[in-house]
Amino acid sequence: MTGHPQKASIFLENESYVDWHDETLWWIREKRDKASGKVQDWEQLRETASKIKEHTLDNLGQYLLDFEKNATDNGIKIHWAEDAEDHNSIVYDLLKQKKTNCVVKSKSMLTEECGLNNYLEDQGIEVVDTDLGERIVQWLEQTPSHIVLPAIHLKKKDIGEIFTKKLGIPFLEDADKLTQIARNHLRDYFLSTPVAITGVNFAIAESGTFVICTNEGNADMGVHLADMHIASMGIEKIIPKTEHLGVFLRLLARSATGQSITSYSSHFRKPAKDKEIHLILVDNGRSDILHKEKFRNALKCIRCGACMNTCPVFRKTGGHSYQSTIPGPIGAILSPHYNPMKYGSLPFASTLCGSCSAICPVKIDIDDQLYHWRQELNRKKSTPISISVVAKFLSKSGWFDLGSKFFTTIHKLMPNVAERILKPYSHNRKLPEPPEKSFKAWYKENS
Amino acid sequence: MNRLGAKKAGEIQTLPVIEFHPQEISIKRFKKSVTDVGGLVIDSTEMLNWNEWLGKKFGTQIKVYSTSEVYPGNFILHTETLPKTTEQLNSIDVAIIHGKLGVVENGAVWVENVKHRAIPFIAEHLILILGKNDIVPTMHEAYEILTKSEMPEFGVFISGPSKTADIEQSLVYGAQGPKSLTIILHE
Repeated sequence: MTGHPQKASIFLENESYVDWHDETLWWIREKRDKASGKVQDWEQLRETASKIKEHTLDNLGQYLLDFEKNATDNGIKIHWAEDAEDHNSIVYDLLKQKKTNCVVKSKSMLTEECGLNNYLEDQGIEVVDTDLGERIVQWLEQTPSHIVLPAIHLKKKDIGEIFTKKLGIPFLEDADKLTQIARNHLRDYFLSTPVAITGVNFAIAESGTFVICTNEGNADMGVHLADMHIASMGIEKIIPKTEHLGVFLRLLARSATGQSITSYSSHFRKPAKDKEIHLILVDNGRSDILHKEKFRNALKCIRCGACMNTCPVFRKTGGHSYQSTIPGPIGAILSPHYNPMKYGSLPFASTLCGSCSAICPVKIDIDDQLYHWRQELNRKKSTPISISVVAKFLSKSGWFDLGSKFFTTIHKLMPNVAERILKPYSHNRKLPEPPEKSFKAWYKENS
Repeated sequence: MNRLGAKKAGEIQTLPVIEFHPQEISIKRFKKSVTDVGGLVIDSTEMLNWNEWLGKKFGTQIKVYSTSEVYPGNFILHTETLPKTTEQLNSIDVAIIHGKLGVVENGAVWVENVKHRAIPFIAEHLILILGKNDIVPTMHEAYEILTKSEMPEFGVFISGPSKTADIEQSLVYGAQGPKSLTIILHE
């Protein structure tokens, strides 16, 4: 079983990348602090946002029905998908209707969660990710390592190389020039592709409107030039009223990147003349989480990624170490619902420092949930064996003394063996010098 | 749906009232916000010779689409014949359209009812015309105004030009949409 520690050790092999990743995400976290500090009502906004989401989750069924009715009245076709498979086949059927073998797609973590790209490619359909970062990771046959900054694990050199390989251009490291080249490359697809897929940031029950936020404008370029717009959204993206957007749009970009708002916040209420909008409401396990009292708050998430930027473990181990669509602290509490065995190591990829909860714009109790998951996984016997063994020794005073003495002796006599025992935790770390005596022994002598 | 309808144990959260401290409408701060997101604000009183300004900034051999009589363009868009005009849309160098609302805190301008929804995104450069009286302090006041009538079929808050930082966090303008954004403020 390859868990977070094993994958992290791969990321840690390249120290200069780790340092860059760590410092860059912290820099973004600091930008978030500056941006939020300028908003007088920031804490009040977080509280309000959290309560709006709480209220919505308490009445989710009704709001979804309201949204369905209003959106349908507006001429938007609503589809319901119980799971990823449902979602993917709905998309495929729509593409078949349009007789297209190519589709442009803007960033949508939900379609990543559903494995849409692979599914469509297996059916012979070309999927073109149009967010620059996503296009780059798609070319590299990777997945986004961060939900807002998909290519944050890559350096200019890697990106220049893949541009050369995919577009046959001379090697470049200039971000301006590479962006311009990507712009021209993607523009051709925008002009010729009849169907565009997007995610959804917010859907408003009272008016049947949905909102998509981007900086590049790629979602809008895709949908306004296509004949058909397919929007995929998780059922938790509903908010009751239009005025609530004021709260969420003030929080989202500031929390994500420290911007005051994204370049584009597009509101779709009706399809344009002679065009179609299809919106797929996807459950895929969300209604199960809704009924787990300790964990339901995680459904408040607006996918800003702030918890990733601030997390010391995420910054130093990279998003791919989590092996889940949503990495970082929020991913560590969402993913185990889907597969506790596969994602059992994620709640342990944390120091429980609580920084994530402290800055979450919708006040999700992320660190508490990480702690609950550890207990839950232990009960399910899904924790790594090493952790179960350590837990045994830590749980009883006598065992602890015995274990402590045993390990300190090995550490003194055979430091290499001690480090090997602690693998992979000792990877890239040196054990401190063993103390002369334990604190307990010292205390006994001196008290 | 049954699974979603089931009520949780304990109290149901009521919908909170949105409370915020009222702030003053500052044109100066609006200009600063637009500059911060990579845009430019020009006062209409500074725009003495429109054609000269346009030519100087974007060149003389350009296709300009405009909905303004004060700042006219030279390009008529035939959206009736879509999709043939996709290429036509793509040839717009400068688009000039009216904004309905401007927001001080983030420099965003609300745009709705454009002739073709792609115009504000596909033009190489975008110019938005905005009345000084249509500026509000925060997003809350913006939505207060927008919700007074039915929401438009499509509307968008535009804050600065299109941008990306996906290549090693270097900020680049003109990722997929307009490479520049100018806001002309009039009385």
